[in-house]
Amino acid sequence: MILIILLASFLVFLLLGMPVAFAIGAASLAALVASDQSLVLLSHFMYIGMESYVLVSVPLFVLAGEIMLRGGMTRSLTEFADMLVGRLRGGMGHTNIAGSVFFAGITGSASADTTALGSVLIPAMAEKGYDRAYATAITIASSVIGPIIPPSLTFVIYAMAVGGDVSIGQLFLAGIVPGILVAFALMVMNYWISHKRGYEKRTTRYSFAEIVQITLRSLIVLVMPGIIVLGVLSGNFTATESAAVASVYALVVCFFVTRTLKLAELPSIFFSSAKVSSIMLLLLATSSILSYVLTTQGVPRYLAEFFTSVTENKYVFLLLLNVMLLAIGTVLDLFPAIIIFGPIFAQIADGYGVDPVHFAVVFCVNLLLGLNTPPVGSGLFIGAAVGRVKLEDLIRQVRPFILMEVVVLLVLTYVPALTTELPRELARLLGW
Amino acid sequence: AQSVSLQIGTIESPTGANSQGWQAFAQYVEAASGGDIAVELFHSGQLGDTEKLLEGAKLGINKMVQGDETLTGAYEPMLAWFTPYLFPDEFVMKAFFESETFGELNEMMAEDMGVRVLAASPYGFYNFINKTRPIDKLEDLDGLKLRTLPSSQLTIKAWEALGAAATPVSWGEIYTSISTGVIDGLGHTLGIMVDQKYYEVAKNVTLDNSIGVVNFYLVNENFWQSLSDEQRKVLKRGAEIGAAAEFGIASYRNRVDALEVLAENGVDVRPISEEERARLRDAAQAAVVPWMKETIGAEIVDKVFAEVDSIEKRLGGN
Amino acid sequence: MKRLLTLFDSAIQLFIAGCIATIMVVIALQVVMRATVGALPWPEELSVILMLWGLMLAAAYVLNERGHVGIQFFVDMLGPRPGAAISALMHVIIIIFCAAVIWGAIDKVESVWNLKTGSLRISRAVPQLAIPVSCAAYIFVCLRLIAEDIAIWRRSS
Ligand code: NA
Ligand code: NA
Repeated sequence: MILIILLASFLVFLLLGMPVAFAIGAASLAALVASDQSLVLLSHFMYIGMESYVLVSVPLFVLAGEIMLRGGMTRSLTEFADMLVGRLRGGMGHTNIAGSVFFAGITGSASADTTALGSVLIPAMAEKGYDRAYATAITIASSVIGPIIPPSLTFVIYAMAVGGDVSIGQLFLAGIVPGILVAFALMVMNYWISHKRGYEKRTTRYSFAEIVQITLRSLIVLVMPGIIVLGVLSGNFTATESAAVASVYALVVCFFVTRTLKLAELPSIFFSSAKVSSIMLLLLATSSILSYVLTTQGVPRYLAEFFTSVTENKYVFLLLLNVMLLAIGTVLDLFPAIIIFGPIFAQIADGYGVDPVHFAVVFCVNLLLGLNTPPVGSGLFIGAAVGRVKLEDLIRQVRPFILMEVVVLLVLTYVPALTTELPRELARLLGW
Repeated sequence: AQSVSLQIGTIESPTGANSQGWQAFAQYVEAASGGDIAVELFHSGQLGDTEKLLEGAKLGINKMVQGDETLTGAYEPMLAWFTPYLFPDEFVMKAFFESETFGELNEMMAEDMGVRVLAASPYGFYNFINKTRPIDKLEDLDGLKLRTLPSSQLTIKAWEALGAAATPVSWGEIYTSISTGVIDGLGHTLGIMVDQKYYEVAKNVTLDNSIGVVNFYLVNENFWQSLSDEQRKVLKRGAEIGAAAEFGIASYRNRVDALEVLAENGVDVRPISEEERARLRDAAQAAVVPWMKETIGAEIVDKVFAEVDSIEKRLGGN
Repeated sequence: MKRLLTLFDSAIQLFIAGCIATIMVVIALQVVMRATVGALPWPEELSVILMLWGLMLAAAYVLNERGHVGIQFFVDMLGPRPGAAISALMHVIIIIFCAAVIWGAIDKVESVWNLKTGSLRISRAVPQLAIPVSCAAYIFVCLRLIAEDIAIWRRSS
């Protein structure tokens, strides 16, 4: 009964346009009142959901990305990507995808990637004869690469949500191969479609001087994710510390090297990174109340019993999970889905003996795909707005790319070595 | 009083010694109360970590919870028994938590903070594990970077007094911090070293039994007072049975299972001599005890020390 | 009155920006300290407290811009007038939620008032207060948004 009140009020609030964070909070309040519990629970669990040093890395990651964006780092990265892959058939499409790989380190967030790269590349692609909706589709499909390749806010939030048992460094390392796989799969599809439709490729060559210049300019930017990833992996600093160091690095670059930032812009940069990260923080806070209600109502137990009654095989379980998460991803946005279902499913997966790092990658990639699937796909909405295309057209054009991403997801699910063994070998090679 | 349903938060996984203790508690309470008291356990920190569970117990959100040594951060007089090298072994420590002195501390806490200890189960001692060198004497600790909780004044003072560099590292970062040399090691129980696989990156363990750690069966005081005598008796006995079960399991796992795993993994585990342990104790306590007396009052500290002395004499301990 | 409000608003924005800036500086300082003379005990705790205050307050600005993640799809389909009415109703519900949080937080703050934080040794109520104070700000913002919704409702009749 309590669960029905909870679910019904949540869905009604959600569909009537209430922000997800408050819909979660208000629905939990309804459930607490219905079960005659103390209102102290509200602030108690909101506080539990937020009070964490790891979480401090979120505003710092956002800050580092914000500084780099405002300092005009988008162009050097897209030039760099174009230099590498622009001469293939469908060149600008490949540039868009490769751009997301390099951009991954700066934003770690899919919507920032879509906005920053899309606003530059979609008009440019349209000019070169690409269907505008197709250009937007590539942009949003490749935007999920950013949150997979480290540094990744998505993995930080996941590690937070499941509570400290998975190391953020390991998750970062585990994301590299899947991110590159997604990029590769998207490029294959882009190559094929471009070939069929006769899309362009770059015919000019860069001069040696240009190559050196562009490489240097992008290296300055790419050092930043390097700091974060190496810092976290080597254990020389924590995730939070590496995000702070990266912010300081970005400031130094934009003030003294490229001189693209003014001191007067700083307060607004700090303020806007606080706003962006506050959206995630508030979600964590109210979701923490929700997970208390779900837990005490026995939902994790029911779900676990459901899975074990269906199968004892961990691969069958993972397949069921894939399907369930794709379904969840169509109606719930990325972070709420991670925060609410992460802890529940992580525990069930543990029962099946699934490697926690492998599980984390499958879980997050799975939900990331939901960003681009209707009806509730914030990637679709942002893409349609940035690319100025009709939602229907965008949905039609993004389908082949989603298909490729689902294939990658299945490969990741059934070949755990891609997320567990490779990072381990790499770590051994580097002597960590 | 009415029949009661308890939703109890604990932090270990279902196979942890503490979880098993609570399972024994649940079985006893449900059987002995004839179904009058229903118990539901939420393991693995589903309702929050021990610090948050304690806050919940204070507020009455949680009627009963698992507690541990983080209690010393919320109620300072409890710091007294958290002194490094106070107890010679877990048996003396267990007896301390059954003593009158602890009973008085407990009554004070129930009054001041609204949370009461029903039973306590020591689950081990901090022992040093580090990657740099075996520790046979006080001087071997010199300059070692040892992890502390950022918030624990007591361990910071203690490790520094032993000549080590106290380095705050959060829980999730310990393994990588050792492997990359941010820290040389840390003090923790043998059970934790095995669970967290620290032995993969640090191969020297010293059985110096510094700080004793303990799990508590905690109850909210208002709830406790609202119960009938019969219900109180059942819960108290259940907690004692749970604590006894846990104590046995934890001691066995520390002394047998954990040492086996460490040996299998090529860890150099060595005991420390009586004389050297005394030197470690004197050095650590010289820094910690004056600070503690200032913080919580000399009277409490002296009383706890005297109680431990008399227990040792009574039990004929070493 | 209006000028006072603007001043207050800029002060809060500056405070939020200051929180983020301080977090960055303090944590970067910690990295340097650990590599040189040894780690400080307080940067972790301070940065968590500043994050709580800075971000919880920043969420009020996001709310004011209707910028929190949500599904506008169905409400937009209903047209401006019903849309404004529903939006107003949703903000009333948010107000109820925030009021409930504040009500419950009174006990919570009281219970930790005399407890000290681990390293800064300040009252544990300091970080906890960020929740009810921000919820009060959310209520204020919601009232403004409801007024806006009513205006839209009137205009589109
Ligand atoms: Na990233
Ligand atoms: Na892209």
